[in-house]
Amino acid sequence: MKSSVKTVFLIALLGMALVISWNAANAQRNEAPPAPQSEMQDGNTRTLDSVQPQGLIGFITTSNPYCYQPDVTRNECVINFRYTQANQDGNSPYLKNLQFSIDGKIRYYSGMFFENSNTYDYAMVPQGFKVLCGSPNESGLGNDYGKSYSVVISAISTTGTQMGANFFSVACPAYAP
Amino acid sequence: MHRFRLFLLVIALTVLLFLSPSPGSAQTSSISLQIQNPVCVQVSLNSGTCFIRMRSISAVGSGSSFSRLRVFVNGKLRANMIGFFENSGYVVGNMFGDGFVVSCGGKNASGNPDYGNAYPIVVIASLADQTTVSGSTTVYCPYFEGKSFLPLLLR
Repeated sequence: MKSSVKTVFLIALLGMALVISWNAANAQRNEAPPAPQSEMQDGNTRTLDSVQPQGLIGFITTSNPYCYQPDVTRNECVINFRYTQANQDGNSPYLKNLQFSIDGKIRYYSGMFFENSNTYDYAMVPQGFKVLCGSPNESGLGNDYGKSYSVVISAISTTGTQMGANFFSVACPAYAP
Repeated sequence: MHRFRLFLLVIALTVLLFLSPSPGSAQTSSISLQIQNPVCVQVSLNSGTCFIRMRSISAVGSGSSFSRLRVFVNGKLRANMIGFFENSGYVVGNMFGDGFVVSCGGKNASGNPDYGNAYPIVVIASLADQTTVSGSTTVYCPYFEGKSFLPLLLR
Protein backbone atom coordinates (compact mmCIF):
# COMPACT_ATOMS: atom_id res chain seq x y z
CA MET A 1 0.00 0.00 0.00
CA LYS A 2 2.73 2.38 1.03
CA SER A 3 4.80 1.80 -2.12
CA SER A 4 1.82 2.53 -4.39
CA VAL A 5 1.23 5.85 -2.58
CA LYS A 6 4.89 6.70 -3.10
CA THR A 7 4.65 5.86 -6.80
CA VAL A 8 1.57 8.04 -7.27
CA PHE A 9 3.27 10.85 -5.38
CA LEU A 10 6.37 10.63 -7.60
CA ILE A 11 4.29 10.55 -10.79
CA ALA A 12 2.38 13.64 -9.61
CA LEU A 13 5.66 15.43 -8.89
CA LEU A 14 7.02 14.50 -12.30
CA GLY A 15 3.83 15.76 -13.96
CA MET A 16 4.03 19.07 -12.12
CA ALA A 17 7.67 19.51 -13.15
CA LEU A 18 6.75 18.85 -16.78
CA VAL A 19 3.88 21.38 -16.71
CA ILE A 20 6.11 24.04 -15.09
CA SER A 21 8.95 23.58 -17.57
CA TRP A 22 6.51 23.62 -20.54
CA ASN A 23 5.00 26.88 -19.28
CA ALA A 24 8.45 28.39 -18.78
CA ALA A 25 9.49 27.44 -22.31
CA ASN A 26 6.28 28.95 -23.71
CA ALA A 27 6.79 32.16 -21.76
CA GLN A 28 10.31 32.43 -23.08
CA ARG A 29 9.09 31.93 -26.66
CA ASN A 30 6.45 34.67 -26.36
CA GLU A 31 8.81 37.03 -24.54
CA ALA A 32 8.94 40.53 -25.99
CA PRO A 33 12.27 41.55 -27.55
CA PRO A 34 14.62 43.28 -25.11
CA ALA A 35 14.06 47.00 -24.85
CA PRO A 36 16.66 49.47 -26.15
CA GLN A 37 19.34 50.18 -23.61
CA SER A 38 20.97 53.38 -22.52
CA GLU A 39 23.79 53.89 -20.02
CA MET A 40 25.42 56.96 -18.54
CA GLN A 41 28.77 57.23 -16.78
CA ASP A 42 30.90 60.24 -15.93
CA GLY A 43 29.07 62.48 -18.41
CA ASN A 44 29.22 59.94 -21.26
CA THR A 45 26.22 58.15 -22.75
CA ARG A 46 25.91 55.05 -24.91
CA THR A 47 22.77 53.60 -26.45
CA LEU A 48 21.89 50.29 -28.02
CA ASP A 49 18.76 50.94 -30.07
CA SER A 50 18.63 47.70 -32.01
CA VAL A 51 19.37 44.62 -30.00
CA GLN A 52 20.03 40.99 -30.84
CA PRO A 53 18.71 39.41 -32.97
CA GLN A 54 18.73 41.92 -35.82
CA GLY A 55 21.19 44.19 -34.17
CA LEU A 56 24.55 44.96 -32.71
CA ILE A 57 26.34 42.59 -30.41
CA GLY A 58 26.56 44.91 -27.44
CA PHE A 59 27.34 48.60 -27.30
CA ILE A 60 29.75 50.24 -29.72
CA THR A 61 33.17 50.18 -28.08
CA THR A 62 35.09 53.45 -27.98
CA SER A 63 38.36 53.96 -26.16
CA ASN A 64 40.12 57.12 -25.00
CA PRO A 65 38.80 60.09 -26.95
CA TYR A 66 41.27 62.97 -26.81
CA CYS A 67 42.05 66.44 -28.04
CA TYR A 68 45.56 67.84 -28.33
CA GLN A 69 47.22 71.02 -29.46
CA PRO A 70 50.28 70.25 -31.60
CA ASP A 71 51.56 73.83 -31.75
CA VAL A 72 50.84 76.49 -29.12
CA THR A 73 51.28 79.27 -31.69
CA ARG A 74 48.30 78.05 -33.72
CA ASN A 75 44.60 77.93 -32.88
CA GLU A 76 44.37 74.40 -34.24
CA CYS A 77 43.62 71.32 -32.16
CA VAL A 78 43.13 67.71 -33.12
CA ILE A 79 40.40 65.34 -31.92
CA ASN A 80 40.82 61.61 -32.21
CA PHE A 81 40.20 58.40 -30.23
CA ARG A 82 42.34 55.34 -29.73
CA TYR A 83 39.86 52.96 -31.32
CA THR A 84 36.19 52.22 -31.79
CA GLN A 85 34.38 49.12 -32.97
CA ALA A 86 30.83 47.95 -33.71
CA ASN A 87 29.94 44.29 -34.15
CA GLN A 88 26.70 42.95 -35.63
CA ASP A 89 25.05 39.57 -35.24
CA GLY A 90 24.58 39.02 -38.98
CA ASN A 91 20.79 39.25 -39.08
CA SER A 92 18.85 41.72 -41.22
CA PRO A 93 18.74 44.72 -41.01
CA TYR A 94 22.48 44.78 -41.31
CA LEU A 95 25.01 47.28 -40.11
CA LYS A 96 25.62 49.55 -43.08
CA ASN A 97 28.14 52.03 -41.76
CA LEU A 98 29.81 53.67 -38.80
CA GLN A 99 29.95 57.45 -38.72
CA PHE A 100 31.48 60.12 -36.51
CA SER A 101 30.09 63.59 -36.08
CA ILE A 102 31.73 66.48 -34.26
CA ASP A 103 29.43 69.28 -33.14
CA GLY A 104 26.69 67.89 -35.41
CA LYS A 105 28.82 67.68 -38.56
CA ILE A 106 29.65 64.22 -39.96
CA ARG A 107 33.41 63.95 -40.32
CA TYR A 108 33.91 60.24 -40.97
CA TYR A 109 32.06 57.45 -42.79
CA SER A 110 33.13 53.84 -42.76
CA GLY A 111 31.18 51.30 -44.81
CA MET A 112 30.97 47.52 -44.67
CA PHE A 113 31.92 44.92 -47.25
CA PHE A 114 30.54 41.47 -46.39
CA GLU A 115 31.78 41.71 -42.82
CA ASN A 116 30.31 41.69 -39.35
CA SER A 117 32.41 44.34 -37.67
CA ASN A 118 33.49 47.87 -38.34
CA THR A 119 36.71 48.98 -36.67
CA TYR A 120 38.41 52.35 -36.43
CA ASP A 121 41.93 52.91 -35.20
CA TYR A 122 43.55 56.34 -34.59
CA ALA A 123 46.20 55.51 -37.18
CA MET A 124 43.50 55.31 -39.87
CA VAL A 125 43.21 59.09 -39.63
CA PRO A 126 46.73 60.00 -38.46
CA GLN A 127 46.17 63.74 -38.84
CA GLY A 128 43.01 63.42 -36.70
CA PHE A 129 39.98 65.68 -36.92
CA LYS A 130 41.06 69.30 -36.86
CA VAL A 131 39.08 71.76 -34.77
CA LEU A 132 39.62 75.18 -33.26
CA CYS A 133 41.23 75.10 -29.82
CA GLY A 134 39.31 78.13 -28.55
CA SER A 135 40.24 80.74 -26.01
CA PRO A 136 40.91 80.05 -22.32
CA ASN A 137 37.80 79.00 -20.38
CA GLU A 138 35.62 79.23 -23.50
CA SER A 139 33.80 76.08 -22.45
CA GLY A 140 33.65 77.13 -18.80
CA LEU A 141 35.92 74.29 -17.75
CA GLY A 142 38.82 76.45 -16.61
CA ASN A 143 41.62 78.43 -18.21
CA ASP A 144 43.51 75.33 -19.30
CA TYR A 145 40.69 74.44 -21.68
CA GLY A 146 39.33 76.16 -24.78
CA LYS A 147 36.36 74.77 -26.68
CA SER A 148 34.55 71.57 -25.77
CA TYR A 149 33.20 69.47 -28.62
CA SER A 150 30.30 67.01 -28.60
CA VAL A 151 31.14 63.85 -30.47
CA VAL A 152 28.67 61.18 -31.61
CA ILE A 153 29.74 57.80 -32.95
CA SER A 154 26.76 56.10 -34.61
CA ALA A 155 26.09 52.72 -36.17
CA ILE A 156 23.58 52.99 -39.02
CA SER A 157 21.60 50.04 -40.40
CA THR A 158 20.79 49.21 -44.03
CA THR A 159 17.29 50.57 -43.41
CA GLY A 160 18.72 53.88 -42.25
CA THR A 161 17.90 53.48 -38.59
CA GLN A 162 20.38 54.06 -35.80
CA MET A 163 21.44 50.76 -34.25
CA GLY A 164 23.49 52.27 -31.46
CA ALA A 165 25.50 55.35 -30.60
CA ASN A 166 28.12 56.72 -28.25
CA PHE A 167 27.86 60.31 -27.06
CA PHE A 168 30.63 62.21 -25.30
CA SER A 169 32.26 65.62 -25.06
CA VAL A 170 35.94 66.27 -25.27
CA ALA A 171 37.55 69.54 -24.22
CA CYS A 172 40.56 70.92 -26.07
CA PRO A 173 43.58 72.81 -24.70
CA ALA A 174 43.15 76.57 -24.91
CA TYR A 175 44.82 78.69 -27.55
CA ALA A 176 46.66 81.28 -25.48
CA PRO A 177 49.56 82.65 -27.52
CA MET B 1 27.09 21.91 28.75
CA HIS B 2 24.64 24.77 28.24
CA ARG B 3 27.17 27.27 29.63
CA PHE B 4 29.88 25.86 27.39
CA ARG B 5 27.69 26.36 24.29
CA LEU B 6 26.92 29.91 25.39
CA PHE B 7 30.64 30.55 25.85
CA LEU B 8 31.38 29.24 22.34
CA LEU B 9 28.63 31.44 20.91
CA VAL B 10 30.08 34.56 22.56
CA ILE B 11 33.56 33.70 21.23
CA ALA B 12 32.21 33.19 17.72
CA LEU B 13 30.33 36.49 17.78
CA THR B 14 33.42 38.32 19.04
CA VAL B 15 35.55 36.86 16.24
CA LEU B 16 32.92 37.84 13.67
CA LEU B 17 32.83 41.36 15.06
CA PHE B 18 36.56 41.77 14.46
CA LEU B 19 36.68 40.02 11.11
CA SER B 20 33.68 41.65 9.43
CA PRO B 21 34.63 44.61 7.22
CA SER B 22 33.81 47.99 8.71
CA PRO B 23 32.79 50.95 6.52
CA GLY B 24 36.15 52.56 7.19
CA SER B 25 38.04 49.63 5.76
CA ALA B 26 36.13 49.61 2.46
CA GLN B 27 38.39 49.11 -0.54
CA THR B 28 39.40 52.43 -2.04
CA SER B 29 40.09 52.98 -5.72
CA SER B 30 43.58 53.58 -7.00
CA ILE B 31 45.25 54.57 -10.24
CA SER B 32 48.72 53.85 -11.55
CA LEU B 33 50.68 55.83 -14.12
CA GLN B 34 53.48 54.79 -16.44
CA ILE B 35 55.38 57.14 -18.73
CA GLN B 36 57.88 55.62 -21.12
CA ASN B 37 60.73 57.46 -22.81
CA PRO B 38 59.90 61.15 -22.93
CA VAL B 39 61.67 62.44 -26.02
CA CYS B 40 62.62 65.75 -27.60
CA VAL B 41 63.70 65.45 -31.21
CA GLN B 42 65.02 67.94 -33.72
CA VAL B 43 63.96 66.45 -37.03
CA SER B 44 65.74 68.95 -39.25
CA LEU B 45 68.94 70.89 -38.56
CA ASN B 46 67.54 73.69 -40.72
CA SER B 47 64.73 74.33 -38.28
CA GLY B 48 64.58 75.52 -34.70
CA THR B 49 61.44 73.46 -34.22
CA CYS B 50 61.66 70.45 -31.94
CA PHE B 51 59.00 67.88 -31.09
CA ILE B 52 58.25 66.46 -27.67
CA ARG B 53 56.69 63.03 -27.54
CA MET B 54 56.52 59.93 -25.37
CA ARG B 55 56.87 56.32 -26.41
CA SER B 56 53.82 55.55 -24.30
CA ILE B 57 51.71 56.74 -21.40
CA SER B 58 49.39 54.43 -19.54
CA ALA B 59 47.07 55.10 -16.64
CA VAL B 60 45.20 52.15 -15.19
CA GLY B 61 42.55 52.57 -12.54
CA SER B 62 40.81 50.19 -10.21
CA GLY B 63 37.48 50.49 -8.50
CA SER B 64 36.26 53.46 -10.49
CA SER B 65 36.03 54.53 -14.09
CA PHE B 66 38.95 56.28 -15.75
CA SER B 67 38.05 59.91 -16.15
CA ARG B 68 40.88 61.80 -17.83
CA LEU B 69 44.56 62.12 -18.57
CA ARG B 70 46.21 65.48 -19.16
CA VAL B 71 49.64 66.30 -20.53
CA PHE B 72 51.24 69.63 -19.67
CA VAL B 73 54.40 70.89 -21.37
CA ASN B 74 56.05 73.87 -19.72
CA GLY B 75 52.88 74.43 -17.67
CA LYS B 76 50.62 74.58 -20.73
CA LEU B 77 47.92 71.94 -21.26
CA ARG B 78 48.70 70.25 -24.57
CA ALA B 79 46.52 67.13 -24.48
CA ASN B 80 43.32 66.06 -22.77
CA MET B 81 42.16 62.46 -22.94
CA ILE B 82 38.95 61.08 -21.43
CA GLY B 83 37.61 57.65 -20.65
CA PHE B 84 34.49 56.18 -22.21
CA PHE B 85 33.11 53.37 -20.05
CA GLU B 86 36.63 52.10 -19.34
CA ASN B 87 39.13 52.08 -16.51
CA SER B 88 42.31 52.99 -18.34
CA GLY B 89 43.87 55.51 -20.66
CA TYR B 90 46.65 54.78 -23.13
CA VAL B 91 48.77 56.93 -25.38
CA VAL B 92 50.72 54.85 -27.84
CA GLY B 93 52.46 55.24 -31.17
CA ASN B 94 51.61 58.43 -33.02
CA MET B 95 48.36 59.22 -31.26
CA PHE B 96 49.65 62.77 -30.81
CA GLY B 97 50.90 62.97 -34.38
CA ASP B 98 54.51 64.10 -34.64
CA GLY B 99 54.39 65.32 -31.04
CA PHE B 100 54.14 68.70 -29.36
CA VAL B 101 55.92 71.49 -31.18
CA VAL B 102 58.42 73.45 -29.06
CA SER B 103 61.35 75.71 -29.71
CA CYS B 104 64.66 73.84 -29.66
CA GLY B 105 66.53 76.82 -28.21
CA GLY B 106 70.09 77.85 -28.72
CA LYS B 107 73.20 76.12 -27.45
CA ASN B 108 73.39 76.00 -23.64
CA ALA B 109 69.91 77.59 -23.30
CA SER B 110 69.15 75.36 -20.32
CA GLY B 111 72.66 75.48 -18.84
CA ASN B 112 73.79 72.32 -20.55
CA PRO B 113 76.17 73.03 -23.46
CA ASP B 114 75.11 69.89 -25.29
CA TYR B 115 71.47 70.92 -25.43
CA GLY B 116 69.08 73.77 -26.09
CA ASN B 117 65.87 74.36 -24.11
CA ALA B 118 64.68 72.10 -21.32
CA TYR B 119 60.95 71.53 -20.84
CA PRO B 120 59.11 70.20 -17.79
CA ILE B 121 56.43 67.67 -18.62
CA VAL B 122 53.63 66.83 -16.20
CA VAL B 123 51.09 64.07 -16.74
CA ILE B 124 48.02 63.95 -14.48
CA ALA B 125 45.55 61.07 -14.59
CA SER B 126 42.36 60.83 -12.59
CA LEU B 127 39.39 58.59 -11.96
CA ALA B 128 35.74 59.61 -11.84
CA ASP B 129 35.90 59.70 -8.03
CA GLN B 130 38.77 62.24 -8.25
CA THR B 131 41.48 59.73 -7.30
CA THR B 132 44.47 61.30 -9.01
CA VAL B 133 48.05 60.41 -9.83
CA SER B 134 50.67 62.59 -11.47
CA GLY B 135 54.12 62.16 -12.92
CA SER B 136 56.66 64.75 -13.96
CA THR B 137 59.91 64.78 -15.83
CA THR B 138 62.13 67.12 -17.82
CA VAL B 139 63.27 66.67 -21.39
CA TYR B 140 66.25 68.38 -22.97
CA CYS B 141 65.99 69.39 -26.59
CA PRO B 142 68.85 69.39 -29.11
CA TYR B 143 70.04 72.94 -29.65
CA PHE B 144 69.47 74.88 -32.86
CA GLU B 145 72.69 76.24 -34.35
CA GLY B 146 70.87 78.83 -36.39
CA LYS B 147 72.64 77.75 -39.54
CA SER B 148 70.84 78.19 -42.79
CA PHE B 149 71.68 75.96 -45.70
CA LEU B 150 71.37 77.80 -48.99
CA PRO B 151 70.77 75.74 -52.08
CA LEU B 152 73.66 75.53 -54.51
CA LEU B 153 72.50 77.14 -57.74
CA LEU B 154 74.28 76.20 -60.93
CA ARG B 155 74.14 78.33 -64.03
